[in-house]
Amino acid sequence: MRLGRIFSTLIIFASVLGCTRSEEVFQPQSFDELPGHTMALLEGSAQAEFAEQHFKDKGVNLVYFPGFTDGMIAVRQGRADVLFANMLMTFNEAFKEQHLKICREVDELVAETGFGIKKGNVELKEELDIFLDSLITAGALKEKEERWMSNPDADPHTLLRIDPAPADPTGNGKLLKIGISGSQPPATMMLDNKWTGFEIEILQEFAATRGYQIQIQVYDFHNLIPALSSGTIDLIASTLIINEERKQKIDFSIVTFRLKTAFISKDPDYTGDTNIWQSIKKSAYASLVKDSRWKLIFNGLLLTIIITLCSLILGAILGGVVCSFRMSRKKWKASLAKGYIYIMRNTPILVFLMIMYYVVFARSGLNATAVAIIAFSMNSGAFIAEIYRSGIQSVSKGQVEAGRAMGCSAFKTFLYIVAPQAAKTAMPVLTSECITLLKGTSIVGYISIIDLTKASDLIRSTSFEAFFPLLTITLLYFILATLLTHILNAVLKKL
Amino acid sequence: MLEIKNLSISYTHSDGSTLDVLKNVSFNVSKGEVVSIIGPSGAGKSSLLRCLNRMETPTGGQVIFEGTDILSPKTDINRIRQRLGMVFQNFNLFENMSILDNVTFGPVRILGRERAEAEVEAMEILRQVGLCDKAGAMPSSLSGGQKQRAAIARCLSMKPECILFDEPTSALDPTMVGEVQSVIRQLAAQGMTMLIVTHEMKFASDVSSRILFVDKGGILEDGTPEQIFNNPRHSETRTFIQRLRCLHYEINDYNTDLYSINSDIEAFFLKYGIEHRSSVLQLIVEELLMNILKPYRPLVADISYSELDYRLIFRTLVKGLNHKVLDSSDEISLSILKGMSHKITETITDDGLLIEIA
Repeated sequence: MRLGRIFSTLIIFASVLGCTRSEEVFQPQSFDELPGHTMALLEGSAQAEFAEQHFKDKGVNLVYFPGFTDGMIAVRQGRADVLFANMLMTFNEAFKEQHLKICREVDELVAETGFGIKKGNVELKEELDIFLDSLITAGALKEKEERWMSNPDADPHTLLRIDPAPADPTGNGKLLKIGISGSQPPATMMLDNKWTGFEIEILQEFAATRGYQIQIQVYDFHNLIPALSSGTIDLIASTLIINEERKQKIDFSIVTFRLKTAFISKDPDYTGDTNIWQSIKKSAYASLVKDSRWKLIFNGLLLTIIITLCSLILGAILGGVVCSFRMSRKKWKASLAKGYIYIMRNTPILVFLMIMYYVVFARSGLNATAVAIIAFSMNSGAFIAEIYRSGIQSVSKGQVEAGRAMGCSAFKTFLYIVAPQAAKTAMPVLTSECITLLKGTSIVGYISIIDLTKASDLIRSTSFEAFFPLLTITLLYFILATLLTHILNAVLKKL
Repeated sequence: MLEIKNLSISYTHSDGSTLDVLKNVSFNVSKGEVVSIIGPSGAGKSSLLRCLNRMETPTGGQVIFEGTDILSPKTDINRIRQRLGMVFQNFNLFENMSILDNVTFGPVRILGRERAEAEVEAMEILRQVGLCDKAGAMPSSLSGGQKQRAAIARCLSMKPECILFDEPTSALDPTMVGEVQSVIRQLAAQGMTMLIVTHEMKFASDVSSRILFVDKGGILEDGTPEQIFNNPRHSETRTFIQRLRCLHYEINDYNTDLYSINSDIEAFFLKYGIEHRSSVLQLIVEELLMNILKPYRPLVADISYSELDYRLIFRTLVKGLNHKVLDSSDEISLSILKGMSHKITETITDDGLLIEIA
């Protein structure tokens, strides 16, 4: 018991600090050194594709990670010897805290990046290309690149510089919805609850010049292109690498930035922090305090609470309606409810949520939070209907008969006799359904909502700190679930 | 008070076939009458009762309560039910309420009366059924007899003009039947109009002013308890009331297999728990059929046993015989028969010679 506790504490510290092994650090200078080693790759990246073509059967162990942060942590913890990825994230000021080193820049892989535009949206593409062209001619694009990309020591607060060129504002205040894949400093990053960065600056300048309003929505990287195709967003700004496959699906602006690739491994000079408390403090500061990152968590918490409560209330109402249909003597009503419950129960909520957002409400202009509330209400409505039904069926038919035989109306019989007893049976199951719903809302990040979970993801990808953001939201979910349980128990006691 | 005219009930099975339970039943109930409805299981007694307050909808006919046709869709059935109480076999108390709340539920929630006033009345009713001290108890803590008395109290709280009892003592332990019956007796003494579906013959006979015997899809017999119990007009009524169990035998040729008859008798006696009496009957059968009546065929033999008074009767009819045979028969056989029985009668009927041995 005690040993277990010590052991788990050690693991936590190891993940905070990055475990440093005493053996020699692998520092590859060429591809020939790779066989016999483990190489970390980012899922779906150009580097991963390159590695699969060239090293797959040559004794190189390839492991995949969803994001740069995860790949970096893997290298730091020794689960991979080297990370093979583009250098975008290494421009982030937090990179130097990671005790990792760029061993070599790889010239074979230079990717051109640009903004993604929906296929066929010729006006926007032309307008943006003309604007970018004017920046290139004026040397402004080069200046922006240098200011954002080659200044790792500068305070990011001082970097933003927007010079709208005097031009005719054809936008007329039209909303331009920009999809980004979260925090990718220095291209896109969150600073004091506002989005900024190299690409954001370009687009803000473009919007100011052409008279557009900008709205930024956050998606997982692999959802950006579907979101663009369905018309949910107008532009992708995610240092999107231009390749043939993507060109089939979307159009690209002219090239804004050329992205190099590098081998990244552990810093051989780093021997571990001497003061553990100091490093924990530093980690906590980077996760929560710096640039008011706690605000992101706080806003996420509010959104999580709003989505959960609204979905619970609407789900409880919808559940009542579905249940009354399900228990109706009319065959068509019962079959309708049965079908609804069958579909909802057998569709994964994440899939359902994405269908609602990217298909059903794609063009409705309804905001993502509303869509999430609708999807979760519909899903929990089906489950709650069945919970109600089992509660109602637990009340003996004889009691209903007795009430009706006394001349009590069906409604009053239900209200005074069936409902109180049904609630007593259903309440414990209902409580657990509510908590399932609360925790279930952690997937709304998929449809661009920055809830509690997504907030911690964003902080993790900016600060490269996994421990404190995750610990914080775990505690917050725990507190929310406990509060919810207590509230529902208090309601139950009143019955 | 209640007029039932040509009431028919039939059920449609899922396979489309219909089962007629009652056909064209008519009867009246006047104020103050206590009517017991008896009859074999499945005869439709409960269905008949449940049609009277439209808990079940009959397939045809009319039920008129104090001049209102309760089966008409225009009738506010809740109003009628408030005046026509019902007590169930399984009590059906409201499990989420104390006994007092069960008794005040109707007046307060249905009739909209003041709670305080209703509680005073409820306590008076509970005192009447002997449950004063259980007012605060929950139904689950009561015994079956107490539950049924509480259910009667709940019914009385609506001040009904007539009460329908649906087998009020069938779900009770034998030890608790008495307490519930005495509450119903007390109501009868107060002049309450009641219809009682019951299996308790003794109770039906003392409490009722009238008895309906329901069988074969209708009311076979309708009369005072004396008529029904002492002078039933139909054999079905008698069979039911005396709880007769019968074994029927037809012997047509002269090669009678005594052993198979004996084994059938033994099985019949075993079934009703009277195997100790089978040897006596086997002896009677042997003497009568194999000796005295040996030359006379065909004949029909019936054994009937009453579970009410434990009487065993052997009856045999020799078809087409028109003279008595016992006195002219073998004396030894006759004396054996006389020694084995209480009474032997010999009558000549239109069908032939009937011999009854009791």
